Amino acid sequence: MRSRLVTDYRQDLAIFKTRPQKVIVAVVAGLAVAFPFVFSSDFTPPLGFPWRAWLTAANLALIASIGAAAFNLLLGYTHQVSVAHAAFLMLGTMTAGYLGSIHHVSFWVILPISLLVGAVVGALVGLPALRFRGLYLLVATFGVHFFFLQVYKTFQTSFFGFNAIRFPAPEVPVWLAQLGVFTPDAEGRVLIQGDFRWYWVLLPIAVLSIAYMSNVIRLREGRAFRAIAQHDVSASLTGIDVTATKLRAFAISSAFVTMSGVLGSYYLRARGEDSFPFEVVLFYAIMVIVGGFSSTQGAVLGALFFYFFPTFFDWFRSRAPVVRDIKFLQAYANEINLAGFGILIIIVLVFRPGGLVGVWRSLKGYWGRWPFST
Amino acid sequence: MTTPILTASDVTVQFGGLRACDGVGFEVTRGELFAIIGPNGAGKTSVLNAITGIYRPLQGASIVYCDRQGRKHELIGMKPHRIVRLGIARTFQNLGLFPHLSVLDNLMLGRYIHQKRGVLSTGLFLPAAVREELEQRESVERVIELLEMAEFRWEQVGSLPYGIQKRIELGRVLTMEPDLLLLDEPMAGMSVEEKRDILRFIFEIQRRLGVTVILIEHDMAVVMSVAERILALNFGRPLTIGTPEDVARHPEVVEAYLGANGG
Repeated sequence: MRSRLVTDYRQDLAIFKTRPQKVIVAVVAGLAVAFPFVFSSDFTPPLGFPWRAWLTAANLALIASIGAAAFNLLLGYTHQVSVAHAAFLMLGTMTAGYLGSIHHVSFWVILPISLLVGAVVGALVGLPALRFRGLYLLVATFGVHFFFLQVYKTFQTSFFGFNAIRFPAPEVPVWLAQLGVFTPDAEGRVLIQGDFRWYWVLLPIAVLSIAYMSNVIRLREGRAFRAIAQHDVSASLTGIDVTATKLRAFAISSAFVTMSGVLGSYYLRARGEDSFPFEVVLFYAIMVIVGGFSSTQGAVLGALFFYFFPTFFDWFRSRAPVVRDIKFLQAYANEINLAGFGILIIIVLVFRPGGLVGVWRSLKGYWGRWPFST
Repeated sequence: MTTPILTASDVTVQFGGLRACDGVGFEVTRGELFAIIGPNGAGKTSVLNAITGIYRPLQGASIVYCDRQGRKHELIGMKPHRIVRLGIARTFQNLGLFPHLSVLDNLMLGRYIHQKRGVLSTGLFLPAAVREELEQRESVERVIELLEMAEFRWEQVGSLPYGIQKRIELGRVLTMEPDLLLLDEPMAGMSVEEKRDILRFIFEIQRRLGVTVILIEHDMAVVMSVAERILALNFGRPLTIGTPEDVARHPEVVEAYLGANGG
């Protein structure tokens, strides 16, 4: 690795330390800004290659990246195996449904409230559940999932009927709407609709949430999380209250999952009980494993991959020459997609346990040592 | 005579039918280097585990700790992390480090009890949280300098040699700034040279920083030359307690170490 001169401990606290890192961040930021402009254009690539679908995939990935980072905070850093992910997505949907759809509370007020609700409910659920370890915790949170599913069904049928909870399109805050950039609709409102506008809502929320979580992880509490994951007796003998700290990790993780549930509900406009199958937690496990375990960047990369890969695969399956003539692939599209991820996980675990982040690091190491690399 | 920093009486730890230690009692004076010796399985580590709240002794035991302000605390029944916050730190016989964290993170964990900023201010990266982090980093760097570990700062602890890891563990308890330090065989498995280094550090900690040290050690030569008072255990029972000369002459100690015919 290239060395750098550190003259102040403050420099060690920066997330992006070296010049190449800063360059990469600038490039990524530039791409993130250009992305929606490019993929909302009317350009139609040949062979029916998807174009606008990438923007939808990016929005879903942004929402999922918050959930994946939260999942990683709990599983990757604190090593607490909780499978109650979908339960907190339901909690988010219920919070949004109750406040937004029934009481017409603004979307922008619901977001912070959902963080709070998620943290409090997370702590309440964690209080008994975190007395268990490992597989026992998994089973306990398994129960939490089905408990929430029951609550959700009751909630939906008593307030919204049997079909689904519907969400209104949120409005752009007044001060932003008055800047004159937006043209209001017939009723004088500026609604957040369509992938282009949603992208600009989701991107900053995702960036801020993930920045928050990565700060927590690398400073005091996060060190305690990582310590507990490795050696809990020793952690308690450095003065860490193991139960309280686990609870804190659980609450933070639940808070952000709940918020991503709110975002998902508003973005997709309708949620029913079948929107929260138990497998959801597996999808997040896929993101975290493929992206790179115990790495926040990994969680983000994993979420992007999780939504971009099927977009590409769908096209490949249905439009690519030769492949599109294979009947079997068309008949079992979803199953094959999932099987693809299954195979991918095996490949990752066997050959690249570090995931996408690990691949990136080894590439970096390779170029750094060139021409002496092997 | 000042009040003792630690007074243990009638400490009995039992696992099923086995008494790991049986009616152990002793007093440690503030500022002293107190050693606990005994053959393997004599119950030395069990005594430390009872003090730090990992094992719970049977009814009737009492371990009273007197903190810097002169307040007395009964340690039995207290959670380990509470005991640590009173100013008691310990090392482990087979390392209590976090192998996947860097040396710096391990040492920063020693500052955990001295940091106050919670998840809200650290997560939002508020100036107060950053300031606290930098202050703690500076005090950690002083320990890194004292123990001559600057070159390993960013290494993963698990990838370093055993002797260095022992030194890092000593460093971590130092960053905790304890009043009472419990060292469980800090020199086990070390070369003579490494032992000498560790001894030098222990002396520095005790003399210069005024920390009271309870040392468990197998190497008799080391114990006899450094300890001010020694408690000898055998099969969980206290044999004797006294100065190194007294203990070395005690017939039961000689028997425990050298066998029945050794004396």
